[in-house]
Amino acid sequence: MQIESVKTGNVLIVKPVEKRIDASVATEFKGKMVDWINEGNTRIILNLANVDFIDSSGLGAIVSSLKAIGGNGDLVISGLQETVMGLFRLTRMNKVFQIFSSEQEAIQALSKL
Amino acid sequence: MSEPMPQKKITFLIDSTLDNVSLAGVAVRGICSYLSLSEADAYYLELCVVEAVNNAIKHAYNSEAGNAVEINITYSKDCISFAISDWGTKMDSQGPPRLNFDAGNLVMIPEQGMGLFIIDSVMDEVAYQSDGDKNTLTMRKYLHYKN
Repeated sequence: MQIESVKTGNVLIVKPVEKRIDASVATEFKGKMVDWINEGNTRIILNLANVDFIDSSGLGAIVSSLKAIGGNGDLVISGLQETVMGLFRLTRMNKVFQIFSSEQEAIQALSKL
Repeated sequence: MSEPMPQKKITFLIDSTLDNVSLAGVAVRGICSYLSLSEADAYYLELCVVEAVNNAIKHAYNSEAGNAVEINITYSKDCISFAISDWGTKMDSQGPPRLNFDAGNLVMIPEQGMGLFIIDSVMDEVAYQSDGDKNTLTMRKYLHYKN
């Protein structure tokens, strides 16, 4: 699974290139996220602008990444497509994650931590 | 005596590996597009089929390749039905799937077990039955067209 990553100050922005985060890539996705977290990145923006499909396994991998950060930072989401936002609402994950319409808003929010 | 409502039907098989599931998903999305369903409805229906096929692969076949998962799609004017079948371990009988958690308690936020909740929330009717060695999850959604 290809994921672009860019560091802006103390914020890491990660952006999956593929359109799907599903059960076939969930373990790999989680592994890459945990590697970044273990390298000391605890303020992360997950930009999902390219992603038009997430299943419950993909969503679980995103939750696992948030748990890996623990209380020492945050994982926030930007660029969420409306259909995928429906999954977050259905599972109430929109109450768990901070969701921003733009990467810039997410950077500002994380910089205040 | 009235004419029976015409139905269209497609049945296909995939091998039990997670890499194949997106093919089933894309097929569902294509059919939803053909039926002029909204993007949101298409996403939810694709999601339910993907969740059902994932469950068959992971739980009925214990993630072992080389087994068949059958996807049967039937639609009529006002309804679309999906029947996902496997020939593996039967699913345990459980009550209605729930997803109760405190969003403020990080430890309690679920990482798995959301698939059946999603199916139950999206679909109008859900049934699971075993006939001999064949287990089938049937999901039905009544259609609401964009226009």
